[in-house]
Amino acid sequence: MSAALDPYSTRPGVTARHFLHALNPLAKIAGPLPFMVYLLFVRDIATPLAFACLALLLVTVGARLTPRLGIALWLGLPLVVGVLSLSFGLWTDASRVDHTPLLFQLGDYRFFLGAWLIGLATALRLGALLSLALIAGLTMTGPDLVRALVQHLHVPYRIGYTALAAYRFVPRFRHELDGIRHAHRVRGIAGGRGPLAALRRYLGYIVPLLVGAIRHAERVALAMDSRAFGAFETRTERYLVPLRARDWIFAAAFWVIGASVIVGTARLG
Amino acid sequence: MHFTSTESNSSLDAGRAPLPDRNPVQRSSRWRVVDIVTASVLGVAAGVIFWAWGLAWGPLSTALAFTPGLGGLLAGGWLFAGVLGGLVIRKPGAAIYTEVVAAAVSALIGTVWGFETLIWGLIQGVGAEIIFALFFYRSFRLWVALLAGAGAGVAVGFLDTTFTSYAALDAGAKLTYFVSAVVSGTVLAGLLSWFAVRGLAATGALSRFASGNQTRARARRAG
Repeated sequence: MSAALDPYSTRPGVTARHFLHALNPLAKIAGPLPFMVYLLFVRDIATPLAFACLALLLVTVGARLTPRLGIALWLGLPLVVGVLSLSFGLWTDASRVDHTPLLFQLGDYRFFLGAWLIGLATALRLGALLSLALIAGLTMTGPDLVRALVQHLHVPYRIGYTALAAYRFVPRFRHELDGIRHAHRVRGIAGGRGPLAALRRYLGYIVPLLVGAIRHAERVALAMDSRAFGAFETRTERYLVPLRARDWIFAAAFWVIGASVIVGTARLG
Repeated sequence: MHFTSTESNSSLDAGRAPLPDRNPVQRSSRWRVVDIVTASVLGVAAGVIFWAWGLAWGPLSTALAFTPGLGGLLAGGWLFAGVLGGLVIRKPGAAIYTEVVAAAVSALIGTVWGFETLIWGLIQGVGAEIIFALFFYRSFRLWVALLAGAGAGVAVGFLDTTFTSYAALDAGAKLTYFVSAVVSGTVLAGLLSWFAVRGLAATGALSRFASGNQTRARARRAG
C-alpha cells in the first residue's frame, strides 16, 4: 500500500509505516496549531522542551527521514537552540536577573544565570515552534496543501492555485538572476571590487529582477486567462485529498497528548 | 478582499471596446488574474529577500547591539513587501496578501522564527494596508508610501516589544526599539518601495496596472 496521497507520484521510500505522509495536510496543521499559538505566550523552559521532544519523536517515527535530516533534527537543532540561548541571553535586561548567580563578566558587562535561562526559554520556544511546523512541513507537498485548502476550507481556488504557481517562480528567479548578472558583466558594469561595490552591484539587480518577474507573471496570467482559469465557481481536481477518520483521530489524539503535556509540565513547574 | 470569478478585464478584451460598466467603483477594486499572479510573484521575490535579510540580520544586529533597541532599525527589511504590493496592485488586500505570501515563502525556505513569521507577516501587512485603506486606495503618492511603511513599522514595533525576547528589555530600550522600527519601516519599506515602483514603471513592466500607467503618463507630461 502506498502511504502518499498523490496516486500519480509516490515518493520513493515512503511506506505504510510513515503514516504522517498519508494524512490530510489540514490535520497535520490543525493538530499542532493550538499549541504553537500557546507556545508564543509561555515563558518557562519545560513546556517548549516537552513539545519539541514530542514533535521530533513524532517526525522520527511517522515521517520518512534521510540520515542527514535525522542528524540535523536531533543534533543540529539542539545546537542552534544552544547558540541562540546565549545570544538571546546577552539581550536580557541584567537588572531583572542580578539576584541569580553570575556566570561571567567582561568589563562592565555581567552575564547572569537568570539571563541565560530567559534566553534558553526563548530559544526553546523557537525550536519547539519549528519542530511542530516540521510535522506538516516534512510530510506534505505544496499542491496537496492547496488542494486540501480549496476542497475543505473553501479557499477560492483562484488564489490557491495562483499562489502555488507563484511558488514555482523561485527556481525561475535563479535563472533570471543568472541572466541579469551575465548581461551586466557583458556590458562591463562591474563597479570594482570590495563589499561596497558588491552591495551596489546587488542593488542594481533588484529592478531588472523585479521587471523580469512581473513580465513572467503577466505571461503566466495571460496563459491562465486564455485557458479560462477562473471562469467557473468550481473546478475539477487531478485527485482528491480526502479528510478521513484517520485525520480526525490524529488531530484529536494530538490535542489530547498536547493538553496532557501542558498539564504535566504545569504540575512539575 | 473581494474576489470574483468573472474576468471581463483580461487581456483578451484588450482590443475590443469596453463593455458597459454597471458599477465602475466596485470594478476597480476587483482582482484580475494578473493582479493575483503579480502580487504572488512580488510576494515570492520579497520572501526570498526576507530570507536573505534574516541571514544578514544576525551579524548586523550584533553590530548594533552597543545600544539596546537599535536593532529595530533592521525591521524595515521585512516590511517592504506589503508596501510594494499595495503600491503596484492598488487594490484592497494587496498589502496584506503580498506581505503574507512573502512571510510564508521565507518561512518555507527556512528562518529561525519558523511559524511565527506568518503571524508577523499578517500583522505587518495589516499595518500597511490600514494606511492604503485610509486613503480609499486612491492616493499612492510618496508620503502615503512613507506612512504605509511607518504603519508596518508600528505593527512590528508593537509585536517585537510585546511578544519576543525584546519584551525583557527596559522601557527606554523598548521605546528606542519601537521608534527605530518605525523609522526603519518608513525608510526601508516606504521610501525604497516607492522608488522601486517608480523604477519599475519607468521600464514599462507595470503597463497593465494603474500604477504603471499613471507614472508613465506623468513622465510623458513632464517630458
